Amino acid sequence: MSDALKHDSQDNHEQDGAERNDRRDFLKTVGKAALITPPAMAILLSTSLDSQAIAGSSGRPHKPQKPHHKPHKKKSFVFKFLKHFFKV
Amino acid sequence: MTAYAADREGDEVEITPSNDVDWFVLDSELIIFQERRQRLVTLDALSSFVWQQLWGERGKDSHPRTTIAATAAGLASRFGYSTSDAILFVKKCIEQWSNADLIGRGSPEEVIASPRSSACNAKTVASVCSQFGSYWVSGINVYIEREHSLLAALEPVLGHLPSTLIHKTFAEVSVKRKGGKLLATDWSGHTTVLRYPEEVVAWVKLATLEAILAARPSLIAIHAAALSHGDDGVLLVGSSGSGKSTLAAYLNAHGYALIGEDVVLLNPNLGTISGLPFSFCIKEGSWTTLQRCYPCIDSMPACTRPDGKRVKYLQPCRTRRSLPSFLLKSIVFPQYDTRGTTQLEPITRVEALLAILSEALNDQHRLTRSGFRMLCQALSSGSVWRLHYCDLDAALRCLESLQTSLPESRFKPDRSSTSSPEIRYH
Repeated sequence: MSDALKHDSQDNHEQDGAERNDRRDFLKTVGKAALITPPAMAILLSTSLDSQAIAGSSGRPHKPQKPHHKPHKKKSFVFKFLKHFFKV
Repeated sequence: MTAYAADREGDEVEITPSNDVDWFVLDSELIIFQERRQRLVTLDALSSFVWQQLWGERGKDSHPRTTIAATAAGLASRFGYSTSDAILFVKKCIEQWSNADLIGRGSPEEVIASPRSSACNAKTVASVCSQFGSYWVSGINVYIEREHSLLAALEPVLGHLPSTLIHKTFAEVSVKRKGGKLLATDWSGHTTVLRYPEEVVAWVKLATLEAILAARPSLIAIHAAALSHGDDGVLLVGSSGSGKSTLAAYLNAHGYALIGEDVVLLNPNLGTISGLPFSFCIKEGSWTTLQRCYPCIDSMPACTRPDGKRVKYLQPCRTRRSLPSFLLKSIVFPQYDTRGTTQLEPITRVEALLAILSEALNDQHRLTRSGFRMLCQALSSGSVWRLHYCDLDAALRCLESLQTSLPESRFKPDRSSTSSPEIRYH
């Protein structure tokens, strides 16, 4: 190996070492902030695997979602009345 | 796969990810799936590093015994932190994951499967052969009464499918006319009254899918079209109106075999993809575009679907039953745009995973760990793209270039074509 090449490779090693040290210095100072910051967790998606996309695509018209079932007021009143009546 | 932490008394306590948790690294991003809570979670870069140091890759017991102190030491040496800071950070991670039920001590309880029974009774329609036309779709017999208006509506959609007599069957659905009414009976024996034949078409598609999912609860149905070219699979994923059926029909006419149109079924147990090979449902706007490869489209009768859209059904030229998911080479999200150019744009696998799951369906209405893993493996085995297209020829060339195994960096614009608009590869 010629002297010039030896010199070049020595330069490269020194440059690499300097870069590595710079990186370490940077992480020691700035990277510390990452440790001080608490770990972060993000929810990407809550799956339910009940998509209506296929149904919609096959031509079925969109059905509005049914409201949650609630007992009919009159019916529940009648039931209460009958219950009370039979108890008595 | 096991991490040990010292408890207050100084004894080592085993910490493991909960039994309902699986994880996968997609595009260098750690995605954690929590089956019990049915959610996908991601961590920041440092926490992801800690997680992977502690538990490595699921299924590979590369870290049989790791301590939190050792992980913290790794964190400290790699990122130049003090050991005490690193230990503090790892402990914070453990605390957070524990609060979120991602991890636990020892072996947590097993995931309890949904109580819904999905066993299908493969009943037999009595004396069907002469009275009913029969079609076999992925293990489901579809019986349609031989009545002119019914057959006229359903033959374009189902006509290319094999007869039921020679195939294994899990369940059946049937439609017959009785006293002027159309009675449709699903796999469970529930009967619905339908008003007109076009409504029967929509019903048959959905009832068949429901029967398949009920018979095989592990299957996941995704809203996509799947085709294969030789041994390479292409998945076209997209919402209604994105142009996936038009593109799939065009590819089918150019040598690609259809696996599933509109519905693709992922089987995590077998690691295969299959689908419902119904005819391509082509909306009015694409009739002229497809005329070149389907000259008969002009003379075909148009149907008005229950949602009011006018469509024509094109029977596929060639079909294929299934494909191992590792042969899925490209996952493409097509977007038809008449004013734009035809170009491929890379998207992240995480984005693709979320898009696929948001339009997916299964019988139990829950994603399993095996389903999550299969989806992730399928996504990581192929390249993922968004295809903006305004010209089907150009779109075909884009997809063909994806099939040629060239490294992405070697993709170059196709300048030889003068008939097509600009094709750009990223």
